[in-house]
Amino acid sequence: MRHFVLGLMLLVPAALVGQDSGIQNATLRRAIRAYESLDFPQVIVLGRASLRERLTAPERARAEELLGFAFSATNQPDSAIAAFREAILLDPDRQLDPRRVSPRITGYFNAALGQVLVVRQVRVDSARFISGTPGTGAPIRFTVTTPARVRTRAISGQTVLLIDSSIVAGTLNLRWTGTTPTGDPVRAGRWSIVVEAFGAGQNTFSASQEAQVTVGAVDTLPHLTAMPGYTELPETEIPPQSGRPLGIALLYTGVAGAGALALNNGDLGTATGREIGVAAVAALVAGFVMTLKKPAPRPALGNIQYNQLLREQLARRNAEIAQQNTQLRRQVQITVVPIARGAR
Amino acid sequence: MSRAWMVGCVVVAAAASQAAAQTVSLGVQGALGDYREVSSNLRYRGGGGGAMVWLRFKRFSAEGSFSRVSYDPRDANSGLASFKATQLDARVGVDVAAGFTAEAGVLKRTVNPDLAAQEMGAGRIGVRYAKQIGPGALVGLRGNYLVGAKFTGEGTAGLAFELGLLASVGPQSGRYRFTMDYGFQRVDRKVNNTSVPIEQSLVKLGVAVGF
Repeated sequence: MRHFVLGLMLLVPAALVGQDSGIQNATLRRAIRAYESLDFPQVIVLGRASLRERLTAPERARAEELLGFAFSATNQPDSAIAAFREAILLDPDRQLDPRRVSPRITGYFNAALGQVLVVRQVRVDSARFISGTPGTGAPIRFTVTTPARVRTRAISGQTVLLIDSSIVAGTLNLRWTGTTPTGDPVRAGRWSIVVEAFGAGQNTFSASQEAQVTVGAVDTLPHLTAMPGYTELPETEIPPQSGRPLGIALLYTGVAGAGALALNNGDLGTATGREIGVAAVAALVAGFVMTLKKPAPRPALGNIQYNQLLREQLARRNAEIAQQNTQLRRQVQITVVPIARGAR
Repeated sequence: MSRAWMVGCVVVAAAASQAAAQTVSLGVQGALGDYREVSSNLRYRGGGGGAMVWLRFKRFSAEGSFSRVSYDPRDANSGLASFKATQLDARVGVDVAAGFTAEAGVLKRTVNPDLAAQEMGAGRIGVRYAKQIGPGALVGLRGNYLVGAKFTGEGTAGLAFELGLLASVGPQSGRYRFTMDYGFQRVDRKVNNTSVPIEQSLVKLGVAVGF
């Protein structure tokens, strides 16, 4: 027993340092000083006295907690649990620091938690998501101390949206998708996430967290002008210079000359050859000029086909982007930012 | 006759150039010819000039040319008289395969003075093959069969054909080009089963302007 009291002496007063700057009630301040002096009977007397006075809700919760510590130190578990229960009802988010408070007191506190129905630690995390996208939403987390049907709603003005309704005991994680029952995105503004717990009988409790919701357009994808990593190839190529034109001219001239010679009617004697000679020279000059001339660019069929495939691919990708953009333009981006308690 | 033909060519070219997607060329030509008839004693050679018009519309083409050559006997002592031969060639063609054009047309050759040589008229059907050898340049071969040949001295031609060699070169735009058109004609004319053949080689060099 002595060791337990000594443990309390070492742990609890340290836990209270720095928590009481906002206390205005004189009796409660005296009780705190008595607790710091480890005068637990005096703490109980002054704590009870303070509760009979006009206190603010935080002061009242602090007084009950102080009584809980004092009752724990004087080995009065029932009274300690009752005091902690009152403290929890007044301030459901009240939490003991297990590093600074003895396990025994923490045990009494947890026992008190199990005897009341409160919704604790309601948290809405900041989130940015596209409305209606599966698996997205603003995370909501809270703890219900005893099994209860819990209804979670989002409320803004006259608009009330049910987020979840289920039997819960312990911590529950939810996501608010930011959509109405018809699938439309919620309007921008200040929303309250209200969690209501309905326990056995008439035992109910509710807690809420405010959040600011902004609604914006979803960024659309830019159309592509080129396929990343691919470039179009030149569709014409200049063939290497060759003697082919002269060769062709020579061949044709030879065919014509040979033909004229072969078809010549022997009864008429031989032709002068002047005309075919002139024709041959003209054709060969044409071939020679073309041999010297820089060849004309010719279509590069492989490159044309490649570019065509590339353009088809680009058109297909842009069609997909257009389709995606059509969907994106119908969507809105919702940003949820929790508002700190007391902030306006 | 020739004046009317030239006026006709210009009118056709002017009208045709108004239509889109077609090519019209007009050209002037110098001509060299060799003409032989009946036997190796009747041999002439000469020079002259001419003109041509060429139209193309999609797969179809038409070509008309006129040449006037003054022929002199190759043997100055033969006692033969010189004459002027005026030849009209007209062809229409349709492209049937890459480079190949089926042709049909007419040939009309008149001489002055009359009866100095045989005047001749015939239809022609054949094929032309042209090969592009570079930008704005082509060479080609032509083979025409001359059908229904008529002569002033009567007679018929069982075998009559024409072999040609063509070349043209110019800038790729086709605005102007140098042209060469060689034709070798062999006409195996017979009169009362007597062979009186005719052969002519005619080469025309010229310049054509495209529209």
